[in-house]
Amino acid sequence: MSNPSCPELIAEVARFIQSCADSADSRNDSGERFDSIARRLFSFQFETLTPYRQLCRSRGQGDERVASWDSIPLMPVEGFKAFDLSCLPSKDRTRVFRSSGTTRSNVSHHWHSDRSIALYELSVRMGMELRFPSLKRDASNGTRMIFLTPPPSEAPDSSLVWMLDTLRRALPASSAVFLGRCAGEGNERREWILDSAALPAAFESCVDSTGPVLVVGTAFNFVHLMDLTRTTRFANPLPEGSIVIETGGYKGRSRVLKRDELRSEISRIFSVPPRSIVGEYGMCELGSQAYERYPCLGEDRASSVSGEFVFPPWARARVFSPETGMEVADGETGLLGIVDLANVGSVCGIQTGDLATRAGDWFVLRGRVESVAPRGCSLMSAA
Amino acid sequence: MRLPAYYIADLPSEADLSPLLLREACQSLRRNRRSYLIGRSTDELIGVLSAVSDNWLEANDPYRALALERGPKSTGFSRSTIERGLDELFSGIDRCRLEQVIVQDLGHERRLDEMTAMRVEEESGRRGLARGPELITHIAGGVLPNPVIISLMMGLLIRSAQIVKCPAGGSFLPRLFAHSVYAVAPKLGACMEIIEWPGGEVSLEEIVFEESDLVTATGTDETLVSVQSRIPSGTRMVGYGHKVSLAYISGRGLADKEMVEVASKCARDVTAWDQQGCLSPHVIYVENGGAFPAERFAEAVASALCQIEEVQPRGALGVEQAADLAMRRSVYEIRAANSPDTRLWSSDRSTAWTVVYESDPRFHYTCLNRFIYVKPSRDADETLHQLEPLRGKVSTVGLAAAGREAERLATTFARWGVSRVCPVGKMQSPPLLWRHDGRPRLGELVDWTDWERE
Repeated sequence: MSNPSCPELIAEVARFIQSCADSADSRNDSGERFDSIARRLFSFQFETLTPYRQLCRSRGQGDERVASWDSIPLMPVEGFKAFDLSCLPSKDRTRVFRSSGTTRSNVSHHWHSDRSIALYELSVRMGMELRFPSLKRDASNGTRMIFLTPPPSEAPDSSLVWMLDTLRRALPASSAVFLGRCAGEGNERREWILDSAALPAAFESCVDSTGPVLVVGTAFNFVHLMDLTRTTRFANPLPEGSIVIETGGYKGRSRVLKRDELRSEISRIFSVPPRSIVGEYGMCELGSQAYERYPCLGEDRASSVSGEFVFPPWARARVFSPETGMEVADGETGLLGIVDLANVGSVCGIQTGDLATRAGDWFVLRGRVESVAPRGCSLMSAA
Repeated sequence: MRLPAYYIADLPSEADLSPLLLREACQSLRRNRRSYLIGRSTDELIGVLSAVSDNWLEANDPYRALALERGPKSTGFSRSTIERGLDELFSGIDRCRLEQVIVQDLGHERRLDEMTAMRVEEESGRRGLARGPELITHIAGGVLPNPVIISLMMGLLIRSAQIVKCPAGGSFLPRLFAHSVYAVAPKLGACMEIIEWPGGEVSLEEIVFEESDLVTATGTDETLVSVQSRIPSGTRMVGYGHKVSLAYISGRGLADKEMVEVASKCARDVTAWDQQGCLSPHVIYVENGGAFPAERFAEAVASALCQIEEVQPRGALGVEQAADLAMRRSVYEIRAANSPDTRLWSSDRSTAWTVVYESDPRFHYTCLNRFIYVKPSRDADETLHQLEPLRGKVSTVGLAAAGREAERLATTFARWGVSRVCPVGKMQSPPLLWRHDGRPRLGELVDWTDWERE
């Protein structure tokens, strides 16, 4: 049997995502279909991507058949720095997402075509809808969206910004504003700052808003916001039902707050209950995002952060021991791997550089592994 | 065996280490020095120290037994790694070598006992006496016991009272050593203090700095700057900062049949103390055109590491360290799968050992824990060119070369600024006479009185 083509696989994954979003308790029912699509994606990617095939072979995976989704060899995110891991014909590659990084050589790049970006957008929208059912319901009343990142025109290769713009386009009755800017010139325009002049007007208009507000930013964006608001006594209560999404990520650019501290500061500034602040986990190498669950009722109220994340049903997390490579038991910590069906045009099995603790179907993020890439020697880089 | 509470580090961890307690400890150290240490002869002290060293080599010595029994949990090294490390260390410490250190550094075996002269002094009508400071504080840096143990021995030889400040969780082996001295000579044991607290406890550190006449510190360059800025003017400091080491395998004069032996010695350097010391190699450079192509040599090192793992396993890693190692390995795994310029050999289903061959000659730091790079070198000049940003920071070059070639290479490395050249297989076990980081051990510690005779 010949392998299906990339467009056929994209269409199949799109149908699967749609069906997951349509059925209420999709996770339990979708197991077999997930497994079948994942194995076919692997087969296609093994055949198409030489660097990946070579990696699989060096690990003893000699052909395109795997027994189940959880035996798909995972490509380390570093692979996205060293190779063009794209199954898409060069002529179809219309967009690239890049990770933040200090030099060209340590930046991941993830290529998309028009078709694959449409799948990405479907995954973003359906993922959001499943996690925040109220969003779509309220959108007809005109949800206001405030994004603390730069707009797509300034950060065209950021997957996060594309994700936010996807939301903006998906909820046409809503209004959206991007409050970030890119600092620096030319190739150095990678550092994100907040447009302090535009802040007050954007948030003041929310005070009068009757509908809920959605605020999204990176951890760094929120720290920057706090620093700005500390001097201006800025405080903006958001209307009831508002949601704040924190996407993680400091990337060495600002002072780093503990997650609990960050959340209570956000809660104070916007007068939103801690349960309305939700973490998001995504990266440019992935087509899907994981979201944090609300802290359970009855849990220690002192901690407003559950820290437990889950992907939508079309992506699954694996946590495996860095020592043995074997899956860890519940409650144990290891490296986070992800099989993401939305990654049709690249590699669906990804090994991240993040540590996580397995908590049933969920995972608790423990942070990035330090000093992942060998960067020569520190004395050299400082010279 | 339960250790009696002779030292502050013996107290239960919940015991409060107050500034007052520390101040009193310093005062009793000075007192004990005056009563028990200052009047001893060098011969007597060498007798005690060589006896202590001999004891550590005895299989039934209680301190050695305790080190091997509880060491893996306390230090993270496997029992056999500790065993081998202790054997290497103490087999190099005996009466003869202790006497030689004094002669090498101070010019005369009775230099610490009386006014003496070596020939050049005699000819110029002079004599001299060297004496140690009253109280030395050692700020210990890493997890290896060797530097602390040798420092304590040198301090006792020059009749100084001493405090060792260990990093948090790092006092186990230094404590055992101090107890082993106490067992042989309780009064000398009372001239030492072992303390443990996390770095940056400014109020406690201030007290020991105030009380000390000399501070030695081992650690990162930042740590040394910080210590230097906090010690009172007039108190001397001897710092041992950031250093790296590597091995160099010459292309000339070695026969093909020697490859396995040389590779196995390199593997010994990688496995000694799990590569955690400043003297452990990060990269093995193999000169082109010799009997061993670098890639084949890398394979031979891998095979030797695999064999050593059977008898001397690496210590267990925490999940963060294992993840760092696994991620780093995966970078080379992708490269190796896709390019002949990189090859990877590694332990199966564990992170126990890793060898990366790279044709790129640039120097790389490894993540330690038995992870080694093997790279080709055109010649020593090219390797030194790659090391240029590290000039002044290279401690040891482990060398495999024959006869004249060895001498030529040693001179080349010496002129460039490497502070020690030794045979491969010996990188992590320098002799007692080693000039630590290029400085004389005792010479750095003592003060002199010159007597010009009429």
